[in-house]
Amino acid sequence: MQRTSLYILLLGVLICFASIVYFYGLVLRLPFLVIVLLFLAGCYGISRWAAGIKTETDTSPNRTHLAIIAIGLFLIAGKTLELAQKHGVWDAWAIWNLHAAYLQNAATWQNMFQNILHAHPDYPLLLPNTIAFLNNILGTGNVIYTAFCFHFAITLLIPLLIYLQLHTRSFILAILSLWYFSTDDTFIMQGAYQLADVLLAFFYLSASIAVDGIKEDKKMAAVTAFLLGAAMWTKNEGIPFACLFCAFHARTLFLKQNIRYTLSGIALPLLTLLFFKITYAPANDIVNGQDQSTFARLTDISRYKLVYHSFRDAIYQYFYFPACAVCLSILVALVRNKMPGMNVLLVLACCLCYLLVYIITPIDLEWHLQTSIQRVLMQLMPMAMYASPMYFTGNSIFRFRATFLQGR
Amino acid sequence: MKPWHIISIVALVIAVTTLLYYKQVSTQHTDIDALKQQALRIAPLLHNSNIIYGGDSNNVELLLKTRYAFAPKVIQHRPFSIADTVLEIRPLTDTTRIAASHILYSAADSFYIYRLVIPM
Repeated sequence: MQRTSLYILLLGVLICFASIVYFYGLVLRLPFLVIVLLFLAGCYGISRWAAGIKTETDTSPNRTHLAIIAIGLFLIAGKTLELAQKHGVWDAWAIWNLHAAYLQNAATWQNMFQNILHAHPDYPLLLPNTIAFLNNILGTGNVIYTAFCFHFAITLLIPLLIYLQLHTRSFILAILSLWYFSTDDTFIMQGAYQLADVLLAFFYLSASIAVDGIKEDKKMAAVTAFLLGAAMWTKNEGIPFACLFCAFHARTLFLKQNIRYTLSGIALPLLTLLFFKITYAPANDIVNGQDQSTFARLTDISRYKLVYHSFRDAIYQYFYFPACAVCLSILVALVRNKMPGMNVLLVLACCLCYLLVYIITPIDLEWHLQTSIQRVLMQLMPMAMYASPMYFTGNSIFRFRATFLQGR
Repeated sequence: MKPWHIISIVALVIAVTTLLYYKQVSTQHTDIDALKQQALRIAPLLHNSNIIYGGDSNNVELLLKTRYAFAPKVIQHRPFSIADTVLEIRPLTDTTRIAASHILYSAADSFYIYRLVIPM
């Protein structure tokens, strides 16, 4: 793992840590200054702890890569400004930014749990808490600029992380992936719309990168677990993802020498999420809507057809290139007569899990698919764009060629 | 590549883009923008307020009557403006506060309430 990549992953850890500290600050009615001091103490502790993590030495030519990165990021910036709306889209301002506005006020933040219909007060609080925390630090009552800045930063970090991880293995694939992210309207749009999906995608990707770093340093097990906790603390979709991730990477995460780090990493976000769900959050509409009719939905073939067609259309329309990358890595695995990479399988398993949720959703299926399938698939896209090339390049592009030669 | 070089580039891109975004949106002052802005600012403090200027009074009244069994008093009609009705919500109880909060939240649908001003 690159040193810069580690810093980006630690930034993800700090974002989650800030939101957790802020949340407990609200619950315990701590003065804001105390919250900030606790956060700074945590930052200091985390940076001291992470200072010894081993990383790869990057000997790549400085200027070429910096120029490529700068061009890629400025392309994203241009597109973001083109697509940005003042308040983001409906979900952004009426759910995420509105929650942030509530959470900014320590005296009245619990009022947000009274807006039950459509406002989703059961959603975890990482994103609104972070924006509220930053807003209180900046001393501004206007969340839209903080929200824009935060989402834009996360939108930049995703392609940057992938580029940093790939460029020492395959320069061409690194440039291709950066080019794809820099020109992909679907991805940039999600960031510009100020939704939580890009942040969730960032945590999925970060956890996948962190788990690959465990072989270099077992402390990365704690980072991986904390990032999984961050995904759960961002959106409800993060919960099945984290469960699947632990199942797929169980041999690494729960290895005797790693389990201590894994458990210590996931403890804080997991306990915070449980505390929030038990104490404050109202029931989730999808979970609450499960009753005797669930079986009828599960056996209704027309629902499967509708979900399949929506999934297929979304892939063709928005995610054709990442889907090709996943298919190619599976093809490489078949040629090599080996199992596809764990992260590639994880992407496929998550897709299946999401599609199953659509089958059993008590909400109008057509509406549910129309409003969310593009966003939930987008959450997995960066991970697919990282996992596939990482699998079939290994350490260099020559291994990719050797794979096919070996296959003959 | 040194981490600080990359961090500098990212910070520069973020700073420039945020400034451009600020310049781009700070001049946007449509009714809907104003409404959303106020909703974000005021929603958490609704328990201190008791007046909502609504757009479509029929919808708002219907909502309050059916969902909260509460009839707001229409204290002013302004047919010349898209914000044609002023609703007074009184007395201020838990129920009316939630109702007011709900109306404010419903303002997310731009066809529902056009303008909303709550004196603090």
